[in-house]
Amino acid sequence: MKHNGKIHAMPGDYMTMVLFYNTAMFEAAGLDPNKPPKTTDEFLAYAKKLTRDTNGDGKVDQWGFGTVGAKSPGFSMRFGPFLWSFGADYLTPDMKRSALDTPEAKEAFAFFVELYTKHKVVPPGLTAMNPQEVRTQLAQKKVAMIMGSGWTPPIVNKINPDLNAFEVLQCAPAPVKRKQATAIWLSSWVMSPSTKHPNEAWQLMKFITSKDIELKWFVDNRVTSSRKDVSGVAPEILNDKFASVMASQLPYGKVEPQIKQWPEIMDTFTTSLQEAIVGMKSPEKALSEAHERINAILAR
Amino acid sequence: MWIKDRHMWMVFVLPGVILLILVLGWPAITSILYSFETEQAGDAAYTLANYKSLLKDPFFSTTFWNTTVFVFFSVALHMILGLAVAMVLNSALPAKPMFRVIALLPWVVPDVVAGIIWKWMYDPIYGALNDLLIKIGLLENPIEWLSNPKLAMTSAILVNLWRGFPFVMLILLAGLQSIPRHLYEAAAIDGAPKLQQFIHITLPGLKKMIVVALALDIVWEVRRFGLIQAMTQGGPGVLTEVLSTYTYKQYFKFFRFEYASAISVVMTIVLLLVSLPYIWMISQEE
Amino acid sequence: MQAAKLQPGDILVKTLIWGFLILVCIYCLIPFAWMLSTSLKTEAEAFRMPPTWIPLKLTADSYIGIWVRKNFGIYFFNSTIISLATAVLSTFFGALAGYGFSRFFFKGRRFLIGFFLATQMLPGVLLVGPYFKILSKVGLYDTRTGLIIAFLTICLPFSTWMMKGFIDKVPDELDQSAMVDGCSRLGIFFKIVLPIVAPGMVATILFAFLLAWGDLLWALCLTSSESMITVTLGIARTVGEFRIIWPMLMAGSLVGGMPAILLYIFLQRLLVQGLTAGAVKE
Repeated sequence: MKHNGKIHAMPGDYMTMVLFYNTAMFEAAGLDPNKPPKTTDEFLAYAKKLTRDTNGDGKVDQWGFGTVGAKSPGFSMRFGPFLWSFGADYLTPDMKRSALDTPEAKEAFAFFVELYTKHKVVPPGLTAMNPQEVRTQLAQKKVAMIMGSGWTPPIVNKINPDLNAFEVLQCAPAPVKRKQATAIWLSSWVMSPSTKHPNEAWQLMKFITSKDIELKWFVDNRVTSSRKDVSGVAPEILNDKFASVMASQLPYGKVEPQIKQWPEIMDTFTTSLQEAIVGMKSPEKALSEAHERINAILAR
Repeated sequence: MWIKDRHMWMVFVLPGVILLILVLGWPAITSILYSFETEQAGDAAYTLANYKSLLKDPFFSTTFWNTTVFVFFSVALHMILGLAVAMVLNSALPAKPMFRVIALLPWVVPDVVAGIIWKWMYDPIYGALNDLLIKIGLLENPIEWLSNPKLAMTSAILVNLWRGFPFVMLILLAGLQSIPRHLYEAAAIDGAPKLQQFIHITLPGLKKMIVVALALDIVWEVRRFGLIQAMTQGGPGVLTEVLSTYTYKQYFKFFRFEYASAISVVMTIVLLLVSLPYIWMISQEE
Repeated sequence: MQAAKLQPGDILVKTLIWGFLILVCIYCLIPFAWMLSTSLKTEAEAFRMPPTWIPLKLTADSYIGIWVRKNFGIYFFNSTIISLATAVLSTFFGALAGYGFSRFFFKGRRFLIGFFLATQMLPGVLLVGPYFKILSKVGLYDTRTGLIIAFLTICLPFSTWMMKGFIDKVPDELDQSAMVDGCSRLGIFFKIVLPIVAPGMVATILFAFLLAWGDLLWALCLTSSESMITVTLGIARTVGEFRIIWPMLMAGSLVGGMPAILLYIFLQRLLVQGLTAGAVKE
């Protein structure tokens, strides 16, 4: 894979992120499982209804939305769709500066933070949540909605077979604020040609894209390969109720910037987000700090 | 033999020294050299750029402070609890070996495993700790041990206390056992109260052991990596980020080898400064 | 410490001491109890709310699973080989150097002792980057040999120090009289001193073994393929996977900790002697 003749990448698999929800929990909360939330406002209203005390002990034991808040690669996949749907982006198109100072970015950031701080529709401990834990929350009926992709149903099914994930789960496009948007999960790995450590980066890439790992993804998690000759031959993918929704989102998918500083930028961003989530800083202040720091990283 | 006996020390000491220089000195010097390079400039050009950006890096100063707090409280609590348990175990007590084994168990657990277990115990939804504390009435509502900004560092230190105090206890127990009993008996006859016995007999008797335990523990806690990495990855925000996790991140997540080297060089200097009194004391005695 | 007559104050003190001891035991043991309890649960029960302490449905699936579904066998093999090789090598070189420091008063001795002590203080993160590069260059990245070399950096200074402590306790007169009998220094070292400090060597090997067994940083940075992973890294890696199977993770942690715990219980007395050998002199 080449881009401007500068970036080299190893192609892998890709999938789009969509909203997974538990239809049984929708019904129990008086929501129509055939009408998933379309807008972010609807999404918030649904999440509030789904956050409740199910066993009557006066304590909330079920939440509307589960998501990743830890410094994990899975975070941006689940945050990106919100950010982009609000009409914002992490970086300017030339990838030279942070674009987090726009009103849209502030709005998206605050929306995400307030899901936890103000509306409390996300379970406690958000900043320590990695993707596996979020999937577990869905599997154990602690949350009703999560962002996920092709791998979600099989993993959830393995965590809790009693849930009957393939039946009970349903998926829908990511909720929309201003425009339909989602993240594409792209298992391609890039290396900056300017790196002084090509060997090391190569070792890492080789590990991540090694046959074992890719095969594991495919067999265990039903991730469709970006190679058509692989994806095209699996009929269960073509007829799948989940896969069809995900395929419909491909035109709206965005890929994260493929630049060398990206891991550091994301780490910085998540750090600020966590500070807002736990209430150390206001969303506004946290975001403007992230903006400054990301600019500093890019200016280096 | 063809080597004079007084030169035989070389046969014994040099293999170790050469090995150390090879496996330790060489990489250490490489690392120091990296820290004066930058990715932009060529290999040959040495610069202080990394150290300058260190001074300006707000995360570095926070991380440095976090490490200080983490190490100070970990070590202080290790000492207090370690000494207390050692003193109890040194008194006449039935089933002493059993208690000693129990009190030692946490130390055998690798720190990353300790981090994983406690993360699971701390889990705000399924965790055992909240459940237990609520059951015995100490808590009303579940606590977010690792996500609450006021608690995150304390929670991490509590885990480190669990994992680390047995070592101090072990060392101090050995020290206590080497203090002659008759000193206490004499003091008791003189009617000295227990506190005075502690101050005038126990503490001086333990002085050396305390220095050893202190020095080793400080160094180990500064280097502690797996525990935090498994539990919080430095979060929330950078509240529990310590030098070792920060450096690791710079190296293997951001691939900033030169910058990471600069951080680890600073860390090394601090460690050497802290342990200087210990090194001095031991080598003076020799 | 005789209690001829129990005064009310003594009873209070006794109660306090026992109360303290019991609290400490609870603090020490609860994580293990929780580990054991979780490891015997089904995955669904692990996520029950409120949690159960005694599993409703006992199952040994996790203990089978770590060997069958995870490559725990390989991890164990790697950890054993790597830790043992590191421990033996570092103890051997440590004993040599320890003897040298113990018996010879040469110029620069103090400096070298200081050097050994100082190397004990170096943080792993200072070395791990260069190691990564060097090992990649010489083709030892992602090999057991590479890890053994790396672990020597942690263990050798320690082993030297512990062995010196043990050898210090062997009277020099033994060496002197053997020399009069025409025994060489190396002969004395191997035939007289080493057998006497054998228990100390066991303690040193054990300690080095524990250090290597418990490491995460080096294994994380210097290996990548599944066939080279150590137990500790294997356990840590399950956390980064697509899902955490807590019962299996807890079973793995318990089983992975077992060798160390057992060694420890049997050899604790020796270990205490070893750790304090440098500090307590008779």
